[in-house]
Amino acid sequence: MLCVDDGRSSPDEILAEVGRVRRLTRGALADGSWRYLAVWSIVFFGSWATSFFPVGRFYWIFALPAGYLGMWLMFRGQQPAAWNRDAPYWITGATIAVANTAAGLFLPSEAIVVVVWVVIGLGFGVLSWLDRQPSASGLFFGLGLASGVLGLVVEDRFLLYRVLALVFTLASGGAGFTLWLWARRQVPGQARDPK
Amino acid sequence: MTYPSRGLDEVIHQKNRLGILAVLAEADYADFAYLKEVLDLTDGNLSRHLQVLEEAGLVIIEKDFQGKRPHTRVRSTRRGRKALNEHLKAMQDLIDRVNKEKR
Repeated sequence: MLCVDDGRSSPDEILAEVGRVRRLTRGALADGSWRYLAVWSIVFFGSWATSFFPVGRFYWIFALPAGYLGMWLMFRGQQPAAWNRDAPYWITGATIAVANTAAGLFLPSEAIVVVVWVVIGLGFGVLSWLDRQPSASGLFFGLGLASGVLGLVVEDRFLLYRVLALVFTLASGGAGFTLWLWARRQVPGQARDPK
Repeated sequence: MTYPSRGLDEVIHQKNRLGILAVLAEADYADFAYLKEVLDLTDGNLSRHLQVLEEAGLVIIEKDFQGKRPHTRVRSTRRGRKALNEHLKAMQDLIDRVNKEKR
């Protein structure tokens, strides 16, 4: 047997060990991802629930700051084990907020109800990509683009808004729950190979 | 043709140092305590391996305080990420070559 390192581990074993620590670290990162997806799932659900009432017109004015506050509360006091640079996340979050606020100020309401989901879909796609979660990233990019296409073909914009609100609630809630489950399984020690 | 083992980097060939770089390939930063837990090392062992990697310019060790407690975090340099990729490729080539010679 070809041996390297300390004379006991074969290259196959070392590559397996490298794979193990990489998986664990992706799990540690996912432990941060599920939190903001859970917060925004609640915010998206709120947009669907309030869309049936006149007050729903003002929902995002309060929901956007509430979402960011919710994220701050969830991450407050958390000492992450492994993490990525903050700046790209702040820039993406700020871009989503600025783009949707600008849309709310300058676009007609028939356009706003679609643009808001396009921006959220693409923004969350970027956030998931920063988290190195390709499946979640693909899901949100796909939903963002599909929202734009549906906005061009569906005439009842307010029905479309409600449907997209529910779809985004389920997508972010489902993705967050999946990441939470996966992160729980990647606990150091438990995932160690029994040798 | 050069034998694939020539592509192996002696500094990161050590299993724990390879593990440190593998963690830092997935995340921009890793906490000292996290590295210790994942790689199953003592404080002294991990410090020694980090020092070797830092001297080789493969990682950067950043120390600050969280409240009154000292906090150490580690990040990989561009050179560190490149060295890891090249090392893993050399190891895979070595495995492929050995398997081929066995047949």
